[in-house]
Amino acid sequence: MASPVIRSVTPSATTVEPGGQFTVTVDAYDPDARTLTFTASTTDTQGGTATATTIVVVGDPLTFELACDDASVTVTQDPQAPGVFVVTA
Amino acid sequence: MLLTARVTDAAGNVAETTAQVEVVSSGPASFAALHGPTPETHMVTVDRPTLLDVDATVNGLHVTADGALIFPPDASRTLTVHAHSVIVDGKLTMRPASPETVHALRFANIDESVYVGGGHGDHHSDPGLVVTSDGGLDAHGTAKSPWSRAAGSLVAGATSILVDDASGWQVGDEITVVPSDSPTASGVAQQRRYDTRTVAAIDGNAVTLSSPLAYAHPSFTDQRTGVVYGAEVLNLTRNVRIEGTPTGRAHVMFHARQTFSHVGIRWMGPRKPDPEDPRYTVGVLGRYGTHFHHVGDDSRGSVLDGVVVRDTGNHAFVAHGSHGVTYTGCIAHDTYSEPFWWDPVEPDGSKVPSHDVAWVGCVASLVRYDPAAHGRRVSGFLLGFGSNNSCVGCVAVGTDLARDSAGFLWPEATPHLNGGVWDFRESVAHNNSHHGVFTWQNSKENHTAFDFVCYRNGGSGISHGAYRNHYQYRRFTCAENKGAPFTIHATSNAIVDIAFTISDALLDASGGPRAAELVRHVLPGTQATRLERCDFRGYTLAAVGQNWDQPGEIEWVDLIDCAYEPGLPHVDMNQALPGSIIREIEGGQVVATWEV
Repeated sequence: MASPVIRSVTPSATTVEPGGQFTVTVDAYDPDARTLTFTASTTDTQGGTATATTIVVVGDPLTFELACDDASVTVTQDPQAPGVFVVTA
Repeated sequence: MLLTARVTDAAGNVAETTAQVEVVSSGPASFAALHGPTPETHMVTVDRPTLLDVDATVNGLHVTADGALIFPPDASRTLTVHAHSVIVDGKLTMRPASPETVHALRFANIDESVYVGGGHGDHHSDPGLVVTSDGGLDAHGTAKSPWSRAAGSLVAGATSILVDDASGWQVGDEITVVPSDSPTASGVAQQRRYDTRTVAAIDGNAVTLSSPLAYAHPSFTDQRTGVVYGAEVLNLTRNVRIEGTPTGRAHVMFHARQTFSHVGIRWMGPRKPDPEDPRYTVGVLGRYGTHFHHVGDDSRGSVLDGVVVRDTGNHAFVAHGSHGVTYTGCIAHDTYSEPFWWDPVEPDGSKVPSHDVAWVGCVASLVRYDPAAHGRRVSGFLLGFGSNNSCVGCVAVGTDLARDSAGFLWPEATPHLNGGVWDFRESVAHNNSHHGVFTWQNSKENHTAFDFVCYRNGGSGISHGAYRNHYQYRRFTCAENKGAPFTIHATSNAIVDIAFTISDALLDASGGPRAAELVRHVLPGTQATRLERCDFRGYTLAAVGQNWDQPGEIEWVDLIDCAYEPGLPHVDMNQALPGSIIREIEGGQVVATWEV
């Protein structure tokens, strides 16, 4: 099993004032994940056909963490959006 | 800041990467975020620009050279410091944007017995505000007229008063009307007849008081110039406040140039039991209302404007070995020892003069000593050692002290260091317990005092000694004092061509025996003392006469072009020693001689 891959870490600001807030979005994926494509089709009595496709990714759930070297900075994860953090400088 | 992102899968495999975000200070940091409102540490360190965004209580504070503690301009804030110091190597900023906003630095829970005192040791351990050689007190309260004179006499029972200039005064301000009644009036001692009230309403220069005046505060008209002096009304309220508490006084010390204005400093100057008599107390050395300590030339350019030091147990405004400090419109009220002062001697006996110090339009009011009977030769303004110092347009009132105390005092000098030569003019001394001016010097310098008034003091208008000198008192008025208008101890020396001279003066004895009183001289004059163009009034015995309590030296006086009360003797020399001579000269001709 390979390690996860972090595509990017993106702060919403590159500078911040003391006491100010910004968000950090961490984008990562599991390289071992497989993509399964399911195709469904149906045909009527006149021979007409309808097709629909759905894709399912099969991989490990990922856990995101964000830490800061300044102990006075607070980091809070958005519970509704894994990989998104609110940072208070 | 460096951010580290870590991602972990279900099997425990980890990926990490970092990102950098720069923290920039386009605005100050939050004190609350950095320290919280009640930091538990012994000494809070402010090492960056920090906004005091909450009322806070700390156990000591250090503003580093890179730091600044900033009170918000648009919000009232109090920083309370428990029993320790505030050391400012950086900047302490208190600049309220409106009169309603109050910025207060308060030292609480001080035990005055812990003070060490002195100037060269570890004075940081004594609770108070210390601004170091790198630091700055950037404190500017809302500007106002610091004090004004009543426009005319005030009667007891009055509930509103009119003053000359109440600009900036606010409803709720605390004001005090200084005593101005006659020293012979019965009742409460004349130097203690203060009326302290709150401004209940204000309309221009008309001030409505919170309660009626208890005392009359009559004006004084200078019959020489026609100028009317209403009682001074001091506004004691400022919206930038640095203070101890009534039961624990702190101190303020500077080691560098400072400029601050309209700051109220209260409950400073700790005291300890007098080691020679524990019934009384003495001020702690070096712990004053404001104290420039041995700053030398680095204090040049300092300006204190409209600053009030009150309810303080020691000196109020001290420029000790510190040059070029200007005090304008500053008020000392209800303080101990000389409020405007610097050390006459160092602990090792050496003297460190201060040069180019200016007191302009300042007021020394209600000066105490513990006990008052020990407060000899204490004054509102002590005109100390140094060069090019000035005292202009100042007022000394309400010194509540012992014999030979005064509103203004040239202190005794030693043989190896003459007294300071001051630009002394346009000042007023009234309603002091003893003299308006007291001088006790044998200085060889050319001292001058011009254009001033001494009235309604409990002693002499001017009491001038010591043995010989050549002071020049010109264009002044002494009237309605309890003692003689001018008491002459000193004789005139002849080290230079200038004689001890009193000229162009109104000396009104106001019912006393003599207008100019000659008391025991210790040394004979080496030239005549000159009284030129003096207007002698109100005496019952003689214009110029002796009042010796013990044998002294000969009299040698020239009265030149003077005016006298009709029908009364000009001179009374009934105790004069052989060799004494007083000449009356008019138009260059000797018209009378009294000779023994």
